[in-house]
Amino acid sequence: MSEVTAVSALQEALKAEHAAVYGYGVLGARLRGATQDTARTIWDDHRAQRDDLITRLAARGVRAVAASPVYKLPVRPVSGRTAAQLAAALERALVTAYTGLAGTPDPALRTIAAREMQQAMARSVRWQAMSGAGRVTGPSSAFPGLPDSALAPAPEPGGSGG
Amino acid sequence: MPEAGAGKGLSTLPGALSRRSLLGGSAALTLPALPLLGGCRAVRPTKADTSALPVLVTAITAEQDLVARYQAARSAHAGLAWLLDPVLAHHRSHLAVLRRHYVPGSGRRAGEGGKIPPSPQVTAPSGGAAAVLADLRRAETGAAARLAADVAKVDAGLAQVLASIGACEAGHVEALGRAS
Repeated sequence: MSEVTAVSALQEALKAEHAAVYGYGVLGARLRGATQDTARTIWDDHRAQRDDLITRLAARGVRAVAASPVYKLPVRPVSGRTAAQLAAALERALVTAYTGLAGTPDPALRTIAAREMQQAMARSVRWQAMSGAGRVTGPSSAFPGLPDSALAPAPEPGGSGG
Repeated sequence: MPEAGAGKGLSTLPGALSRRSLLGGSAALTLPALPLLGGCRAVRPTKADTSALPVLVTAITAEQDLVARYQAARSAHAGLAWLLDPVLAHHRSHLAVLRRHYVPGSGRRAGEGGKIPPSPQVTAPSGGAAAVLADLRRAETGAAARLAADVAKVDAGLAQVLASIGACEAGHVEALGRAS
């Protein structure tokens, strides 16, 4: 049962990495100079992370979910500014996707997920700043990747609740 | 495996033009609705068992320290309010949620797992705004690193909360760095 949970969480993270690899490939064409170099480095990181997730799934005897031939992107990258906005959105999506993995029973996977969430959030803030969004103060939410319902302890049977 | 620009530089994507036209035209609307966002499988945290108490004490103590540092920084450098106030609000939210999870033992088990110290009194470091931002950045970086390690020590639901807080701190580190 716990293995199913770990596998499904790995697959969700992989889907987001597939989308990021695709998205960075598209948005990179709209960037120039050092910004494009940054995008290329991050693109390579996402490809490596994608491959790592595939390896982890294979080690569990599971076939990894394949990339889609095309993705519906949340921002249309028609300029450097919108390309940066897209990158920020892709990284936010990764934070959300890795949150599932942070809740798996495997402590090693949780640690990996927590580190990936931190990296993705930092990148999202960096891209937000690079998109010319003005003064950037950090994440828009105090609990990135989590719905409000996940913040309070669940009521215990027979207990008085929160 | 299909991959945008596999093996090529980003500027020389073989499919860049076709992708642009695809994304730029109405064709994008006719694509199958492929999910970009992976579903977040949030686990509802249970009330922390006693094994989680030391982790919660550490996390709460760190958040108290961050709140005190930001309050001191805010008092000393009102011109940084645009940056410090939203981040301070995040830390107060973190503290409130973590305290909800902290349920210490009573009777003979009181104090098990450690006790939360009172909030520290902090003075903003001298050296101007740059020194203050550097100090806050160090504190945020340390908190994020501890949280990434601590997710392995608690139940699944609390691990997600800690991981999310750690991601938030990492975002603060980036924002502070850009303001320095």
